[in-house]
Amino acid sequence: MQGFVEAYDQFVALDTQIIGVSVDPWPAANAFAGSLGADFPLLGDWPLNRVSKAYDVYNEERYVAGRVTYVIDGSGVIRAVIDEPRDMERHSRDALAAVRALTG
Amino acid sequence: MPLQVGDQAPDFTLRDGTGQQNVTLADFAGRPLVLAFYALAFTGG
Repeated sequence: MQGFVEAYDQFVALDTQIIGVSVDPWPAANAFAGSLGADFPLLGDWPLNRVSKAYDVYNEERYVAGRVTYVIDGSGVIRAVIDEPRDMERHSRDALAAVRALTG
Repeated sequence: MPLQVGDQAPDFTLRDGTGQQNVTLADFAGRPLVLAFYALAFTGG
C-alpha cells in the first residue's frame, strides 16, 4: 500500500477516494494504516471475507485477498482492474492513470 | 478471476476505522473510488 500513500495527494486532487481492503479485523487494519502514515482508510473485511469474495479476489488456499486494485467510477462501474501480484508500484501508478482518464 | 472492466461494482459494506460505522459503495457515488485489496496488514505491497 506504500505506493498509494505516496501518491495520495494526486488522488485527492482528482476528488478520488482510496480504500484499502484486507481480511484483517478492523483494529489490525487500522494499526497498519497508522504505521504506513496512510491518510486514507484501510478497512477490515473480517470475519466473513464477504467483500473479497464479491470482488472475486479471495484466495481460498491462503485465506487472504489477492493483490487486486479496482478503479470504480462515480456510477459504480469498474473502469480499471490492476491484477498484479508482484509489481506493487503498478497498482498506484496504473490506478492514477485510470482515474486521470476518467476525470480528464 | 477478478471482475472485469465494464462490470457493475458489487455493493459492499465494511466497518470503518472506529469499528462503529459502516462504509458502503453508495457513500462514494458521483466520484471515483479506488478499492485496493491486499493480503494482510504489516506485509509488503
